[in-house]
Amino acid sequence: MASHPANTGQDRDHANPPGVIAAFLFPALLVYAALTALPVLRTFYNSTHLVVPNRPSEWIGFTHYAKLWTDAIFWKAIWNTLTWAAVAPVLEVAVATLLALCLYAKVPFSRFLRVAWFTPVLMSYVVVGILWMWIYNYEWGALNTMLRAVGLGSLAQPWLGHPDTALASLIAVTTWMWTGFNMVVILAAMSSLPSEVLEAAELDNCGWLAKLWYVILPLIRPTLLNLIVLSFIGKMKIFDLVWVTTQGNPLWATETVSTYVYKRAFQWSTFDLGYPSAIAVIWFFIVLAGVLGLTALFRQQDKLEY
Amino acid sequence: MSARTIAVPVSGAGLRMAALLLLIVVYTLYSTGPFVWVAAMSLRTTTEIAANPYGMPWPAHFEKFASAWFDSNYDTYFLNSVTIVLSAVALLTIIGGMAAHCFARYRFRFKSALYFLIFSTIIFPPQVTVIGLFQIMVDYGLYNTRVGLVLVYVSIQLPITIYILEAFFARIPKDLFEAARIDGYSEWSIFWRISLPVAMPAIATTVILNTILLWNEFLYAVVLITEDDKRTLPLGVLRFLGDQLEDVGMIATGLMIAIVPVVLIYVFFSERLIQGMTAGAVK
Amino acid sequence: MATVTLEDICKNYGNVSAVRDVNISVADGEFMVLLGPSGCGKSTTLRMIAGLETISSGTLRIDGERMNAVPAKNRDIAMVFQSYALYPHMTVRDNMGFGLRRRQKDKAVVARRVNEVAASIGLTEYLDRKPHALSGGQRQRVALGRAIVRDPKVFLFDEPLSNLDAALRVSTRAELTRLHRELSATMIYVTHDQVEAMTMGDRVCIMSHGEVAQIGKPMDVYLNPASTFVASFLGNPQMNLIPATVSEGVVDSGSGKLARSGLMSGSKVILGLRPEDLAITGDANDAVLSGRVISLEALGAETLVHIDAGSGKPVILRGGRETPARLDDVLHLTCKPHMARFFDAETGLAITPGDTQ
Repeated sequence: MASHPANTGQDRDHANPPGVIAAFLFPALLVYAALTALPVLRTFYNSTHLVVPNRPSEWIGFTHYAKLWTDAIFWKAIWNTLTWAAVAPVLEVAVATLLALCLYAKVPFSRFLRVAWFTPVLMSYVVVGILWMWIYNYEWGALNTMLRAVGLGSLAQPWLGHPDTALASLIAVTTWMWTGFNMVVILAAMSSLPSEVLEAAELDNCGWLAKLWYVILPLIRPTLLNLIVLSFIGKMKIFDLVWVTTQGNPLWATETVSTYVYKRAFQWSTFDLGYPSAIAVIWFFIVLAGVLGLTALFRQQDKLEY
Repeated sequence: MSARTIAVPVSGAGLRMAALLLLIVVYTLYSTGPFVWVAAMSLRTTTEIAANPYGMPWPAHFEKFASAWFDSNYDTYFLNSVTIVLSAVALLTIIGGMAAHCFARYRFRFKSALYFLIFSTIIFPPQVTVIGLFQIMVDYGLYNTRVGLVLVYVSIQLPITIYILEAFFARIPKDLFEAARIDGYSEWSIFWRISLPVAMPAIATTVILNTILLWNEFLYAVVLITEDDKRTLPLGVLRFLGDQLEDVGMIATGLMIAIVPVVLIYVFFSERLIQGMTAGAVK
Repeated sequence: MATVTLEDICKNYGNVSAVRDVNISVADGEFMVLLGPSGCGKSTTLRMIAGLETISSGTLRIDGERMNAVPAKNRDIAMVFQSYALYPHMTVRDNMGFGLRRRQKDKAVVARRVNEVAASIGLTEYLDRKPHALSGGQRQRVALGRAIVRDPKVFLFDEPLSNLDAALRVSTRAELTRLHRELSATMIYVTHDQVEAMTMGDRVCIMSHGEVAQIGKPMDVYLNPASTFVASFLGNPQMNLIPATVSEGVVDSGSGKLARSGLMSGSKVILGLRPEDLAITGDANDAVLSGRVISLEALGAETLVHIDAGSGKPVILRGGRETPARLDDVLHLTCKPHMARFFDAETGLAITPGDTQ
């Protein structure tokens, strides 16, 4: 296919033969068009139609969007997901920075610790979800067992079963999962700081705390912000963990946009794909606005250059 | 290195080190303890676990793995996961590699626009594709087929694969390609015999990364697969959970079957895996 | 200002010895250059003085006070790094004032001091820029200014000019010399560039393989190198080193002779002759060296003539523009007898003939 050099006309660009370029790009673009672009367009199309099996789709304008306005579960799902996406990134990055500093201070076994702390993020949400359902189990879960062991048994409760604690408990799970990942990235950023700048700070009368505050943190700021954005995107997508553990229960306390879309599309017997598509479209724009907003908010005035 | 060798009074340093070590030990227990626990439970019967959830796995019931494997359909789930993930990863490497090579090597119109278009899907929430994808798969007759799932997996991992490979290809000196061109290599064999072999480290990174992420994938699988004998491991584990909610011991065994391959890969390729997972996060 | 004394300083990394028994004494207000090829331990020595490396053994004194265990920040020294090590997120003003502010100086005092120094080195108009908006030369000057603002006991420089282009290097060299005169500060300067060492140093300390090879005024070291290493390191093109034998007050280079008493008869020596001390002669009997011209380099102001005198390496003569030599000519060379240097063939150390100097 692409193995023939382009025609040898005088004015052909030999270095960039169009036929070859097209051939190299074709499979990727095909996959992209058929399985990413087309589904997205289809979802947008759905959102203004009544989409019921075995019947042609029926144009209904913005009826779905209007209905969303009064859908309490939808708003609850938005609220829960936004809470998750606001709290978890900050928690993850803050704890991860602390941990990275520990390893940066040259403690023994730091290579091993780095690998060990990274492990949770490698597990599927299904595994993690089941594991934490057990940890949160009221009768024999690890958390309550520990509370009882230290005499705080009165605090023991069905963590995922109570509307007040369910969402916080799940946020704790994602934090457990992702902190090690963030730690590794932050540690890498710290290790790549130019040692001479840190030495200069030492000669400028900086103790380790001053060095951290005036030099290290400002210099790794871009990495920290990047991680926050990344974590934000991840939490806006969250589905698996909720689906495995609570399916949005109790009382929609852990309903996220993803789980609600899934329920409305594939579980509730409404047989209409238009309504969940409308949710997805709205959500698409919220995520987009969130990412653009965060990026603009965090934009560095100047690049850092050593 | 020497930036951190700050001379401080010994007692202060000792105290700080002790606090640091305590924090580290606690966090290590917190992050790895759950796995140790589930590993122990996977070797104990539910009756033993009910008596003491935190006991040691003595005697170790290795036969539980055989029982999960043969009696609870885990052999099918495992095989499905292996075939689907490996096919998707192989396709991803070729298709993604070709596109990445093209982006890194050639100049053409709309290059940055195309690149941006593909890469921007990384921020798309899956909700916005999953419904349309479901309809399209039904239309094409790919719904509830392993081939369909493979194709979908290729599409969701394509952007990050291209991103990692493109960055690596772009660092291969241009001279190498020009020398090959002068030596009479065709454009295809330049890709096949130079780009790919030279970029082996990056290829390995994407292969391992994609393997892990797809091994763990759940949303698209649950939407697109309905029949039990086509389920992947995460779906199988969840089905088993639904059927045998109280059989904690067997569920733990099932979890271990899903975890072990990941842990094995991690043991052998930890640095490469970390590198792949964090590739998108470091600018 | 201050004196700096290194007594038997050693640095080991595990079993590897990077610096061995270094003894240097830098006087108050002196400009001391540590010169040597890469890996000779000069930077490590400087970093030990700064407190950025621990000292394995020996004693470091600043103003007579033992400094081995004093943290870097309390040694009252300032350092200019090779990469400048400016804080990329701070303006020039903040970069220069950071050290003083960390020492809890009054804000107004810091501001005044920064302005003063900025004016003296021509940085006033750049004070509100960040490092990335400066050229290499300007960054270098900020690094310098940051050190001056601190008014430290000792200035340390770690190859500060190596990232500048050639023209800027010449002008910065002159400026550093001026600053040294104005501040009359103690400065220790590490470089591998012999021109910097020759032009700037009050004294030069040449290091090799972690040890001090020679310390002295630049011209003294140039004229009287203590060893073949120093002889060949200093000077460009380097000193011609020719194996020779001594018999009865005559040094025989194999292709010529030089009368010199005071050397042990029958001993093997290495004869050291600077290229500029050689001259062409018509009289073969007068020649200390003879040989065929194998290459000529006309550099404009001077001509370098490479001669195969049968002693292994070609002998180089540095002559004027009009040097009468052509390829394949056989030339006879003389030298001013008092400019000839002798080294022990075994140890490479300089030998002073009994009757001269």
